[in-house]
Amino acid sequence: MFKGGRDFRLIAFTSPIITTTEEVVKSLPYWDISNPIELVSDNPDYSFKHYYFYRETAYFPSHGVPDNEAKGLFTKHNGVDVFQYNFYIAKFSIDSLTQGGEATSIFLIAVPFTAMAIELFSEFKNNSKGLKVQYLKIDIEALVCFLKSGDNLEGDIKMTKLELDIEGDSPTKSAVLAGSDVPNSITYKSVIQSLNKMAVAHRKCKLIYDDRVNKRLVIIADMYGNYTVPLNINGMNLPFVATVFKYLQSLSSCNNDVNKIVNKDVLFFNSILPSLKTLQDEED
Amino acid sequence: MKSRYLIVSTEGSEKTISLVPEVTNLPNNYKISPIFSVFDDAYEPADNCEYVVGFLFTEFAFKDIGSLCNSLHKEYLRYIWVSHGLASIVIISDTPSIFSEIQQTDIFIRGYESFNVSSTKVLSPDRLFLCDPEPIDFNDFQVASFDVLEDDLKWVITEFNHSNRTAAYRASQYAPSQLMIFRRLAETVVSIVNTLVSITSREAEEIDVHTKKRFDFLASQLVQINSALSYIISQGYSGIIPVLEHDCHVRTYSLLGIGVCYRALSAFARHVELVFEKHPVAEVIKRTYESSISPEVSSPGVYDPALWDKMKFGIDVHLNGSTFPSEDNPKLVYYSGRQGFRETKFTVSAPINSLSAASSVRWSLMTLSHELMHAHVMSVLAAIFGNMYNPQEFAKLVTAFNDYRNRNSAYTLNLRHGLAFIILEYCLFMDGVSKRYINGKKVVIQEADSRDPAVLQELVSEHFGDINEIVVHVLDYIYFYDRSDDVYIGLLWESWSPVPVVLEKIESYILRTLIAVGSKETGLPTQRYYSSIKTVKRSLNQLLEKNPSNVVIKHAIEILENNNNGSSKLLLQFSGGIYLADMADRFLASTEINAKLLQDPMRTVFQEDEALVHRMLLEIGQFEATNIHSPVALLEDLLRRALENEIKVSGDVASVWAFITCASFQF
Repeated sequence: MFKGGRDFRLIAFTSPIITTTEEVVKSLPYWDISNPIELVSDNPDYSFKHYYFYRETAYFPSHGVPDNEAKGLFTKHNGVDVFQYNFYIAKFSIDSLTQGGEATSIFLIAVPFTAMAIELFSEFKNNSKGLKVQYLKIDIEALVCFLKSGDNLEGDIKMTKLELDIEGDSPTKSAVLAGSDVPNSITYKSVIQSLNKMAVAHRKCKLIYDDRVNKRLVIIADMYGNYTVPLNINGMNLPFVATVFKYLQSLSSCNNDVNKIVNKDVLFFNSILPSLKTLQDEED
Repeated sequence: MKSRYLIVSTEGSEKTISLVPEVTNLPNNYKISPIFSVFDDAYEPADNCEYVVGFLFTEFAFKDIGSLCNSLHKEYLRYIWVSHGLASIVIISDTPSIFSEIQQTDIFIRGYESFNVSSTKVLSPDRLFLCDPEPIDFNDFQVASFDVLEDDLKWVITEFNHSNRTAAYRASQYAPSQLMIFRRLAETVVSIVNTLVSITSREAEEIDVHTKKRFDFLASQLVQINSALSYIISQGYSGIIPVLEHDCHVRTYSLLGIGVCYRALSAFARHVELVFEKHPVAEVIKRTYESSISPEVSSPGVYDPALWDKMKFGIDVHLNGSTFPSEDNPKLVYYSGRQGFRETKFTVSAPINSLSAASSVRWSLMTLSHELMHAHVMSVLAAIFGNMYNPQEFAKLVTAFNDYRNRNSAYTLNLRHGLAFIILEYCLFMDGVSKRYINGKKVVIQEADSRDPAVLQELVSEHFGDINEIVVHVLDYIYFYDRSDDVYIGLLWESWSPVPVVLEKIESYILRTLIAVGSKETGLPTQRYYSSIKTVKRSLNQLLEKNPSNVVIKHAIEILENNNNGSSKLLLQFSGGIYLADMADRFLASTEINAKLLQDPMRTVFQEDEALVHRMLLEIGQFEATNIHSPVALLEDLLRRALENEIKVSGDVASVWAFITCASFQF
């Protein structure tokens, strides 16, 4: 596919009925899918698989692709000229979100284009009916609260961009704050306090996770469970994405007066498909 | 989702049931209801099949269908249908075990009744299940002591007791969240009856004309309440178990009734009421505005709206978490063929046409927002004026008004007086406007004597209707439509088009539209007038394009074109109206109320062309395991989609989905 890495659209979910990545594949649309290539992992509890889709549909980035790169996508598969796309399915486990519960297996599906994500994820939702799929989502406001709380001692994760949806003031519907550490900024506190009469939703954020050794990941997450992560060539950093989710799950709940938050967990599950309509404004 | 008709016919002791795409060759004695499959590949039994028909009662069907889609095995999903009735989930299946499968999911089933069917003949009952009803004390829903009253009133109260008790019992079984409506209604009726008893117990010579009028008025309120309850029982609580024996008086839905449509209407009204209960504007005005300083108040010709700083003087500054107990009863809601969209002290009605066309612009339940705002605005105006019918009180107000106008003394204007003076200035200004034009001709006028309380009282009475309408329109535009011109104007003019009186008084309807939309504009009144005309004309032309035969809209556009020359009565009337609109926007419109009315986790911001807009994330026909938080946001979004021709399914499918989704609001 493309010579360098690129951003992938990702959803994360769990299901008591889906236990293997092969079962995930069964719920995908009936596209031409290659056999998986197992990515190298040093943890036997993880499974990271690299697949190819073969599609006659072209999914091009909105900013355009140089001709020679676009042609490079082309291949012959079963005698037909098709585009070949990478996608990935991962399985890992996190501690239970309820005290005393068993560890939860989480699956990730990552695809390289927004249009592909919209098609594939909605077909997945349709095909997985009855499988009790619950999507993993970040409560961004609770995360902000945690990052302000002083418990983020290691400084492993920073929020560098935050989008707010605003209800109650029709000339202004959203605000974007960006910087090295948005939750701990005077600006964030002032904005939230001044918007106290309105309904403010912490809609989307950009996070930087640093393991303090040699790895760093930027992840964009919205409140609906859509994620954007940069995956390098052949998705070799996918296991690190799992590490970030495990880290987020470890963050404890938070109380905060300014945000009026009481005991909210950073990660939660529900069965509502991460809304693909919100992806339609995204650019690849 | 596909639509079919479920028909049950009875011949003697024999019943047959059929599922048909069209209504043809109806039997003699039948009941019918439209039903809609959740998935397009729904199972439809052939004529000679054996299958089960089941009627499933859950309190929040939208959420429960979402749960079923997630947890019921895929092969069973094609058996799920939805209806307008309290049995909003209908199961049609050739797999009898489906009910056991449904029971193993986490949905809470309030009732289930199913029948075995063979070759359309209803053979035998299959299953009957009713959960334990919510425990209630029926004394909480009745009036006890009224023996001293005369027989006709005793009958009315007895009827209330039977009706409210029936409604409460059925709610306890099928929709416990509704119990509080009937409980609070009983408290209100007890209070009314206690007053009636107290008056009756007085000596004859103590009962003057005023007391008699009050007595008759209270008695008529009881009759109104009974009438509404009768509608509620027959609309909201028909189609209950035993389903095949019950009957709904709306014949198109005679089999399963319109219980979920009633729930949706109730959800909309209750959501709005709850927001206003938590933000008691009228109470705050009564209790705090006399001790708050007002900005300067001048007449419409010379005022500067910049001085009316919302951040310093707006209602949000004073609301500040205030909670005063609400004295208002939740409105009793129902559908009416005769009354259409209408609001009274105890009731709110929507037209019967909304049952099949709720997703259309013309019959959208969003029109109710205007009716609900009337009650709010009446209470606000009453709080501003106090008891203006008391001559001494009103005379004091008029003296203060003239002192202020003439700056006679070191008079510090308080906020309550400031608002009252704005309204008095408006009345004087509009009196001048109407006198300037007699028989269409401009004449020299003498301004009314502002020092005479009788003159001012008459002016206020004369213009009270217009004052009420302007403030209602502005607040409706802000709170429910988020100042979206096309959606607001589209709804107004589509819903007005079939109403005969609109064509007769079209100028006043045009004026209200211009004023509401003009509240968003800035600049001098003339500039705002021209901007408003441009905006309204553009929206009306878009509507006319979609429906070129709409005579009302065509006529409105002609009038706007004729008034685009700046020398008309309409401009003067607009100048008065925009003055009131600024009062409503800057002093009375709460940002917090606006936010709470529209806030919903399923509503987010999108980029559309060059603008950011709020939209709901749900697609029509989509069910999720969650409740809706704002029926207003849902219906506003549906209305926008209807105006922009984005609804790709048939109107009845969109309508039933809207009802079921709206009814998932939990209060």
